[in-house]
Amino acid sequence: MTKAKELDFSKKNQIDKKRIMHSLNQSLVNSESLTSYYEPLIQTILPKWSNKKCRARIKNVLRLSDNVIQLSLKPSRKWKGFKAGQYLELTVEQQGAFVTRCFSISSSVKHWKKTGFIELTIREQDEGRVTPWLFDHLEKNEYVQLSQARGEFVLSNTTAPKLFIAGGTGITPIKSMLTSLTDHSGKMDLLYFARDAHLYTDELKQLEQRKDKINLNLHFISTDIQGELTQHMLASLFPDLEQREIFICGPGGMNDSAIEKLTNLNVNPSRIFQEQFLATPKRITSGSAAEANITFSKAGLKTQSKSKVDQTLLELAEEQKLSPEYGCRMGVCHQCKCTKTKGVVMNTLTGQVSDTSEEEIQLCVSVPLSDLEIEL
Amino acid sequence: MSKTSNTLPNNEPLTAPKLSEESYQGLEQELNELREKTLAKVGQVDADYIRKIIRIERWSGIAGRIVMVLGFFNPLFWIAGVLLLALSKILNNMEVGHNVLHGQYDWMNDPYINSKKFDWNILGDTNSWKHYHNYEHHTYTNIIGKDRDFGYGLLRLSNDIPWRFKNLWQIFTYAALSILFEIGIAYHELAGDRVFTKKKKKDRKSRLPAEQLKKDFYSKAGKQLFKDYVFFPLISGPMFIPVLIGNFIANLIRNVWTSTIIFCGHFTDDIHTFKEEDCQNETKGQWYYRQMLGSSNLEGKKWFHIMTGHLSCQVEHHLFPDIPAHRYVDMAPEVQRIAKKYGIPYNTGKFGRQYFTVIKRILKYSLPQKKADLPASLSAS
Repeated sequence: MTKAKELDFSKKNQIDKKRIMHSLNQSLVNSESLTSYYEPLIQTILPKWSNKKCRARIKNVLRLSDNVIQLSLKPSRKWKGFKAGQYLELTVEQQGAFVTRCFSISSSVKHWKKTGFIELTIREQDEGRVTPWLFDHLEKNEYVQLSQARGEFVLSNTTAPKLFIAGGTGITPIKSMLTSLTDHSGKMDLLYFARDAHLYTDELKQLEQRKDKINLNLHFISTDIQGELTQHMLASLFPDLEQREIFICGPGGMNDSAIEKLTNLNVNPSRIFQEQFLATPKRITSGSAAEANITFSKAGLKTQSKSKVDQTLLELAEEQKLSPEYGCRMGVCHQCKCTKTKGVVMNTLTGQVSDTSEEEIQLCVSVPLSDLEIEL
Repeated sequence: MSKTSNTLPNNEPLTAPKLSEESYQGLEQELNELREKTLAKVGQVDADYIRKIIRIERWSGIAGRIVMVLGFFNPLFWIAGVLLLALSKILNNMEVGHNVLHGQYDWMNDPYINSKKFDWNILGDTNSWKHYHNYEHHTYTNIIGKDRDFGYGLLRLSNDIPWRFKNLWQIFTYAALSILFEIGIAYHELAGDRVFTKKKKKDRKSRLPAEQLKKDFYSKAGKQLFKDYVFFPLISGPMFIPVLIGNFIANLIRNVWTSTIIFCGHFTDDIHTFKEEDCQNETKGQWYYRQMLGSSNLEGKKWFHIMTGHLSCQVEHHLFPDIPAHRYVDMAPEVQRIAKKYGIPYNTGKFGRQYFTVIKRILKYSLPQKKADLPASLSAS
C-alpha cells in the first residue's frame, strides 16, 4: 500500500471505530457516551461536573469597584491552560438554567502555572441577565463550569514595538499579555481609556517600574476629562506608529473608531489585532422586528425581516424555501425547535425575550429582536 | 350529559355542547393566566427534581442489572433485580422520557436533559414518537380520523368509528398490544404511513421517506434488542438465560404498566370525541375545551403520580404539555375550579374504577351498536 492509501485506511478505521463505539453507547445507555450517561450520578459527588466542560472552584470574589468584580478560580485538571489574551466561556446555573458568557482571562500564564488559579475580571452590564446575577450569587468554594480557553487575540513573538489600546474592562486580556511576558520583548506602550476608575493601576505601575523585565510606558486617559481616542493623540504620542503592532480591546464602538483612525494614519491593517468586547447584537427596540438580518447558517442563506410585518422565524425560513420541521405551529408541540447561535428573539406566546447566547428556540412563535444566526 | 353511560341513549357518541363565545374567551384567559403563573415559578426546584428522578432511574437500572446476576446465589436476588430494572424502565419511559421529550425541561439548557438530545430506553425511535405524539396527538386530540392514538388503528373505542369484524376479539388484541406496547409505540408511525404495506393513504404527509423511517425503526429496535437480549445476558456468563428472561419480564412489566396508564388517559367513560370539521380554525379557548373533554385523570398518592409520569393528571398535561409535569398536581385544583365555573366536566377517579371503565369500553365497542333515528337537534354537535 502506498503511504497515502495507508493513511486513508487508518483514518477510515478510526472513523469506523468511532461509529461502532457510538452505536454501542446508544444501545447500552441511550446516550452518545458513557460519561454523559453517568453525568447526573457523578454530579452528586462532584457538583457541577460536566462531560463536556471543566469544573472550576471559586477561590475568591473581589469587588474592584462599584460595577467590576474579580473572580479567582481554580480550574480542574481537565482544563488545559491558556495563552495570554485568550478568553473562555463561563457557565453558571441560574435558577435551574445554564447560562454562558465569555470572559477574557486577566491573570498571567505564569500565575496559573505556579498556583493553578486564574482570574476573570467582570463588569456588570446594566439590565444584563447574567452579570448582575453573578455579582449577587457567586460565593467562595462553589463551582462553575468553564470551556477550554479559546481566541486568537494573543501576543506575537516578535520584538517589534507594540501599542496596546484598552477601553474599560478591555484591559483584561491586555493585562494578561503584559504580565505573562517572559522576556524583554521590545518597546511597549499602553493607552488605557476609562470612564470611571482605571482598573489594576497599581499592578500596571509596578510592572512599568520593572525596567529590567519590560520596556513599558503607561498612558491612563479618563475619557470624561480628556475625551476619547483621537487621531491626533495617536500621531503625537507614537511617531513610530507604522512600525508598531497594535492590540486593541474594548467595547465595539471604540475598536471600530480606533481602527479607522489607525488606517487613516497609514498603519497596515495586518499589524492591527483586536478583541471586541460585549459583542451583543444591536437590539432593535421598535414595536416590531424592523429589518433584522437573519442568517440561516446551515443553508448558507440570509434574509431580512420586514419592518411593518411581524413574521415568525418559521414563516421567514419557509419564505426562503427552507423546510424546517414543524408541528402545531402554535408553540405547544416543540417540533420546530432550532438552535439560535446568535441574537435575541421574542417568544410571542409567552412574551419572553430570549438570552443573547446560544439557545434552543421554537421557530413558530419566535420573532427577531436583533440580527440573528439560526442553525438551519 | 349522563355520568353512567358513555353514549347518549340512542348510542350516538358523546359530543360536546358548544360554549358561548364569551366562555371560550374567558376559559382561554384564565387558563393562560394559570400557565403564566406556573411558568414564573419554574426554576431551580424543577431542575433539581428532574435530576433527582434521573439519578433514581439510573441507579435502579444499574443496580437491577447487577442484582439480577446475583440471582446465581439466591433466586430472590433475581426477582429484586427484575423489579429494580422494571422500575428504572418505567421511570425512564414516564416521568423522565415522556416529560423531557415534551420539551418540559428544555429551558434548562442542559446538554443532555433536553428534547433534542434525550433518547429513551424503549424500542421506538425517539424522533418518530415526538412527531406523532407531541405534534399529532396533542394537536388533534380525540378528533376521530386525525388522532391515531384513539385506538391505535387497532381498537374501536367509540361509536363514531365504523365497526369491523376484527373488533369482535379486540379485548385480546388489547391484551397483546398491552404486553407488546413498546413494539406498538415503535411501529405506530410506520403503520400510519403504511410503510410496510402496498397501499398508501392518499392524503397522508410522511415526515420522512419510507426507507428512512424503516432504517430508523430497525436501527433503534436493533440496539434495544441487542442490549437486553444479547449484551447483558452474554456478559452474565452462566446466568445467561435467567438474565435474558429477567430483561424480558422487566420490559413486559413496563409495557403493561405504561399501556394501562395511557389507556386510562383517554378511554375511560364519559370521554368526548370530536369531528374534524368542527375543529377547523379553533381558537385557543376551543382548543383548551377540547383537551379537557378528551382527557381523564387518576387519583392517587405522590409515588403513584411519579410512576405514571404525572399522566395521572392527563387533563392538566393536555392543557399544558410543556410545563414540568410534577407541577400538574398543584395546578389541578385551579383547573377544577375553572372547569366548574364554565360548566365543563372534569373526569377523574380512582385507578381501579377508571381502568374498569376502560375495559368496559373496549368490550362494549367490540360489538356494533344500532343507530336509532336521531332527532334533528342532536345530529349537529
